[in-house]
Amino acid sequence: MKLHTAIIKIFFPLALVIAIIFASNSILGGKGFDISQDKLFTLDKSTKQIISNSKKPVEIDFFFSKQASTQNPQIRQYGHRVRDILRQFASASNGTILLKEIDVNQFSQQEDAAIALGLLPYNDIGSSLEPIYLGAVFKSGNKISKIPYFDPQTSDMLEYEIAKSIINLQKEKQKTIGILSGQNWFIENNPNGAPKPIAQIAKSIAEENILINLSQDFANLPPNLDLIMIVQPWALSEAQQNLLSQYIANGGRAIICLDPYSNISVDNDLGNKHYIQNLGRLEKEWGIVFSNEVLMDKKGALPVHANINGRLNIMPQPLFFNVPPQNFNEKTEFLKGLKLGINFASPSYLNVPDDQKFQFTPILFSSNDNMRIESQKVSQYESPQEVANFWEGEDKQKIIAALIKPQTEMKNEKKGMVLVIADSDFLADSLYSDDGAQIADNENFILNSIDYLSGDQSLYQLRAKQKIKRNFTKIDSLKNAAQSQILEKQGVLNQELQTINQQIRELSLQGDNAETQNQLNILRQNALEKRAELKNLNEGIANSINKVKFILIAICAIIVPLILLLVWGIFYNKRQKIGLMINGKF
Amino acid sequence: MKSQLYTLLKREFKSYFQNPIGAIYISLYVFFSVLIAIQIGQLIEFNEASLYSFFEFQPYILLLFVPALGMRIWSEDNKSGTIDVLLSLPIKDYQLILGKYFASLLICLIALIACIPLWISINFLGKADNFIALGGFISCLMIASIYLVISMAISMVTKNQIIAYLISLLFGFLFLASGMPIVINMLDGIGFNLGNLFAQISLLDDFENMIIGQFSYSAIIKFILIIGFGLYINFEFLKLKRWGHI
Repeated sequence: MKLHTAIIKIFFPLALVIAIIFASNSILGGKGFDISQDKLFTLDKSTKQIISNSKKPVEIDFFFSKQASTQNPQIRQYGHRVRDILRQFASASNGTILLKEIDVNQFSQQEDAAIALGLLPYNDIGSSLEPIYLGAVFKSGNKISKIPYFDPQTSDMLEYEIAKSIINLQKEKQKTIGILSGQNWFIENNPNGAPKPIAQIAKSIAEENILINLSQDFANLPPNLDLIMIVQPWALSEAQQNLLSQYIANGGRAIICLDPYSNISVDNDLGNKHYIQNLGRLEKEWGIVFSNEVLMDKKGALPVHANINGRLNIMPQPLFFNVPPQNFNEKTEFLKGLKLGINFASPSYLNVPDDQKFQFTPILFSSNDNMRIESQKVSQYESPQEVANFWEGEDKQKIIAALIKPQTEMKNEKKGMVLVIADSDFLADSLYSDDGAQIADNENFILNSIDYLSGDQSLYQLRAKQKIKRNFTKIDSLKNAAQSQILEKQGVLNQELQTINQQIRELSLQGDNAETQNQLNILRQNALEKRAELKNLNEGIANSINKVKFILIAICAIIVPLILLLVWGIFYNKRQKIGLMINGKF
Repeated sequence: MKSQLYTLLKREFKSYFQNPIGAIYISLYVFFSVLIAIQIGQLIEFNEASLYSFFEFQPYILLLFVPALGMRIWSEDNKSGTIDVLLSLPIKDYQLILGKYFASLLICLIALIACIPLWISINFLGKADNFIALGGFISCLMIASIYLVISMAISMVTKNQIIAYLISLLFGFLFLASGMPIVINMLDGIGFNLGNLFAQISLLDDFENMIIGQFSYSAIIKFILIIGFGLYINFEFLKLKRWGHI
């Protein structure tokens, strides 16, 4: 064979291979299979249902700066994922959804169009690189909606965001929600127009619905309200109570969030005096039996930063707790799929009404290791250590939220319904969001509740479709157990230390003789030892995690390779012996 | 014919364990992979029952280890002259190539299997997505296969194992680096949309998708084509060797 023939034989197939790779990339795009258990890369059944229910044609213009995105692998990769999922939407729609992919280059007509439509470019701060566009515009008839920028940080919500945009285009009208709230951290009342949402949950509600402000002195309710959301309101006048009573009696729906001690309001210097802790006679009319006590939950306690002996530690604080899915009423449709649970802060609890005329359905429960305290005493339990010292747990679960259908004499087709939640703090961003990432399903819970109460079920399942956080449960329980032990021991040691310090002070006053000096030295030595013990306890958690790490390294990185070498050694030795035996030298 | 392939595979596989090199190789791979995942990848600190911290470094770890395995496949025969004996045997070229290739791939497989205790430990500590973990191991084997065919082909043309290792490292790195922004920008400077073209050949994006559970058909086609082409190159090189051109 001649050399140049061989070269041809190599370069021709090489060109063919490259051509096939390019062709498969452009023809197959992102088609493939999803092996993840959460099926994050496959369209959900409910999405397919939404697509098949779409009657009006939808046009999606997907703007992506292919060339510029090569500067940023993360954006490029995410851009491909967005493109792939949009293609899945289009192919599942049987032609109802038309996808147009637009490659945006700098200073091109496409860039002008993207800017005109309000899309936002992604640029590193201070970067002189080309702007990267990664957004979409959804059009149907005269309606238009857009996702200005697909954020890789919220990739878990990608499918939901796209489905929501499509649904919003299909809707004949948006839901109208009346907001009655005295909490300016949640929503700011605007006497001349729509209220200004402040909390993320309020913003999300405003994105999907029309919000109407019910001011402090509202004298009538706007017509065609789909729902009223009552969040720790100002005191209601008799006439206002009548209006609300009439509204529910006529088949209206309401979400009520009331709290005997709102941490967020206290933090915002609102104090308790600016809002009411009960709804007066409305509670009786609607079958709401609030407790005035605050509930703490040890099993679901959330970690908080606590200053203990001048050191900043992370400790579980039962005043702030998570209600996990196993404490949901499993028959409640709109709670299904909220896998992260719901976080609460110093909530109250609900009692079952004695009156049989109410259909009372508890939906959220505390764990069976809880404790009740008077709402006035909450400030005494701000330190997790204090809570641990005075813990007197009860083993009966408490009701944190319930659906109540008051029975009325009106024979309307639509029955009134009230969702009561014994907390308002859970609406605050800090309770469920960590740098934009949702660590609990508080927002989804409220959005699902609004959909449920207003009879719109299309986005239930999809909202909850996000990556399940698969924690190292063993390490978590190890941490929690160690922290509980530490809290207990710290309490004892602190007391001992205080006694010793007291004794030192008393002895110091007794004069400066040799015996006193000797006793003082002993006590000082004791104090130092106790402090050292406290220090060791704090280091205990870090040590227990390091121990797990060390065991993992020892087993997987050291013992396994050593076993491999040993096995080889045994076989090698055996073979050598056999070899020697064959040669007659053994 | 099959038995000839099997006999060669067995002979090549055994040759890795005739001295401690094979066992040391696997042990070192396991040691560094696990250590890097736990210490640099912060597997425990992330508090997520997943092997992502392990897999994310694999393209680079395998890039260092697999050429070390592949460099000797032909170079040793070239150096000792046993290549002439092999070529004179009544065995087909493709059997020779596949026998050596699968024997080395088996070593890679054993090395990956030796990391399974880490997978078991993760499952003990939390609830891992085992399908993603399995997909990750398959992805590692696929990327190892690519490095292996590259280093096999390089080792065919040189007697010096160090040179074979370094050139294999370079080629393997090119497959990874072709998706890196710095390389793309450099190629874009040349023109002809070269940056974008090379980005499509890069293995890094596809690998990163695979280890989170997203297997695209185009990525699978790409991996299979590159492995197939690598084996074909070996076949052509062997023919050239037979004819004395290299």
